[in-house]
Amino acid sequence: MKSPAIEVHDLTVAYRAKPVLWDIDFSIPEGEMVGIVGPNGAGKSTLMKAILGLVPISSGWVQIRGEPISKDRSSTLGYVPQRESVDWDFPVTVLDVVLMGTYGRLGWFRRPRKAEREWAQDCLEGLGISDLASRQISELSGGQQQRVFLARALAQDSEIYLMDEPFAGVDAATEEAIVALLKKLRARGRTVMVIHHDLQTVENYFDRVLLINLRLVAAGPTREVFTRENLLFTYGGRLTVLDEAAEAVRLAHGNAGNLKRHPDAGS
Amino acid sequence: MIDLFFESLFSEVNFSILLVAACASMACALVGTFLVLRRLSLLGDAISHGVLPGLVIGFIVSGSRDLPPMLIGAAVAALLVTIASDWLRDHGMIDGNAAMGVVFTTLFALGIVLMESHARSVDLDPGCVLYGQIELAPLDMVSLPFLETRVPRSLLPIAVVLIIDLLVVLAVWKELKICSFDPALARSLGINVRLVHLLLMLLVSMTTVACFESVGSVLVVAMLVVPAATAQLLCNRLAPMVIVAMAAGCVIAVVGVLGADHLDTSVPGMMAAAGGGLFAFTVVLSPSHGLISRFYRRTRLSLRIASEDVLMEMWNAREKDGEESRVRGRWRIAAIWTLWLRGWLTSPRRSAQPTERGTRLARALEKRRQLWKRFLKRQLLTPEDHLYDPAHRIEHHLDSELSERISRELDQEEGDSSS
Repeated sequence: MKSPAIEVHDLTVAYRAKPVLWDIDFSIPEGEMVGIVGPNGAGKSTLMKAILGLVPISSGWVQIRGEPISKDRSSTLGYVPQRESVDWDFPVTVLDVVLMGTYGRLGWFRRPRKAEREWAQDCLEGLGISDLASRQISELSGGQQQRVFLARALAQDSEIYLMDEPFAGVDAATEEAIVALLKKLRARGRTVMVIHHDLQTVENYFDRVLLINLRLVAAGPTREVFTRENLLFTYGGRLTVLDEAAEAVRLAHGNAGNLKRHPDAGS
Repeated sequence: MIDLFFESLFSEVNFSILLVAACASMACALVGTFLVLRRLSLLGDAISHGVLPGLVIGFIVSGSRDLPPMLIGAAVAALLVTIASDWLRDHGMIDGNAAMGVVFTTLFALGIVLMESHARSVDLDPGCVLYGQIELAPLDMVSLPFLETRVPRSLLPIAVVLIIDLLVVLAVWKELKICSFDPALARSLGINVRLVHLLLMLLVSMTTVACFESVGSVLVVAMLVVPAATAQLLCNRLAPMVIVAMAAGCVIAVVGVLGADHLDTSVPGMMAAAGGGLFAFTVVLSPSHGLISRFYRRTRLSLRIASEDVLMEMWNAREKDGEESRVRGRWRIAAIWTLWLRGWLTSPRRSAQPTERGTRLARALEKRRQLWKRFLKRQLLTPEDHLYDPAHRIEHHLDSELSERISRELDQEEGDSSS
């Protein structure tokens, strides 16, 4: 059997020794459109970062297409961070930002050339903003910024995409453009994981959902999992036991002088 | 006057000092650009002070002011500053800035203590570290191999470091760019962000140390930040920003050296002051971010709004009177003149009438105003007495595309509700 695009096994992630995600288990088959849904502070972004290897994992493991996450995953994982995570006054143009999507493939020292430039221009075309290529990024509207980020992800030409709230604060036209892009990616057999807030559109956009609130509430095909009962469970307040347990862990480590890092936390 | 300027510039003494000052400024501006862009300006401060104990230990161990041992000591100290403050921050003990503050002041003080207790007998003293000895540059000249000219000995380390900085920045240009702009993406692409960060810190510490002897730590801190901050106000791409920052460094060096010669004062002090002056000048005059251009744009917008308001009032006055004017005093006079100059009023007087073109514009504005009132009433369910002011504000900003869309949506909705 073909190995799943993403497999997460018994994953726990801690922030300064305090667990923020508990024992997450799921696997995502290739070519699916997956929505991650849950309240604020539920650990959705953290889960995404753990899959990308951006935050240390306390226990458990993540596999991408049957292989453990490694340093060199430039061609398999495309990432769209939250729009607010970067400084939009940074002195670069739209094309510069999209070109960054090709940096992983280029490796050290090599510069993007004409082929990369044309490819980046094509990616801008794919989001309907090729006319913005030479704009400075501070001149963009929120929706345009998001499209630039998506064009950059497209430029990565990955098998699997992880998108952190691409629909947050965008105009209707951009939302349509993003949905069209997602459909195009699915048609090409790519796997896409999206953190999503608008519960109204979940059923239209995604084949599969992960409901998360510090722990995995439910995972599976949207039709089966995206139920009123599960949603109530996800949003109906946190499990106070989990909060208290996390606090206990944090305090214990705090009292130990706060100097010892969590043994599994790595660097 | 101009002759005098060049004569003073190219006198051998000033030229040697200028050469040193310009190379030091450019090297600092180059690495400083990346510090400023990563919002790490304070880290430049921290490193340039925190390297002191490394310098002193290198000096004590080697017993000379040769650069290599001092550079190694400084590099180790710089990495210590970075790693120690990151570690303190990551372990949640104190916030990042406070961590840097604690680490670098402690190291700097340690450096002073070491220097006073072990290295006092030889010529490494706090004054030299703080203010530098650039004025002494012309006194110690060396000949370069293969070249006819003689250059100050203190230029050599600075020139070497400038060249290394340039080569490294060019080699890892795209890595520096992406790690500065979006480190999370860089890491997800498999770029070693930490290594790039440490490399930059290494460059900063090398540059700092090489420039210490000549211009002192105070000026190094200024040169790391001021040219880059100036360039940031002028540029919107990375490569021009780096070039402009280095050019600003040169300008600062020229003004500083000549000014100091003229006023018979300290060169580094004059340079730092010139840097502040250049920055202030840019803040006022920058075409995109400057105060003057911002003021101009704001005034132009206000004038347009006032003109349109006055035009509407004059146009409306033909049909009904009694409404109090929204634009009074000087703004009204300015608005009436503007309207006349644009050919929208028949004369620059209060009694003037809109011309045909003026009438057309007024009608368009009136249409947008009514459209917005309709939109507020129907789609936002705004109460009747809240419609006037918002409609007045928005009429100046609706372009035809948006107006058409609103109008289409409203028509559609009215069509739906009536059927």
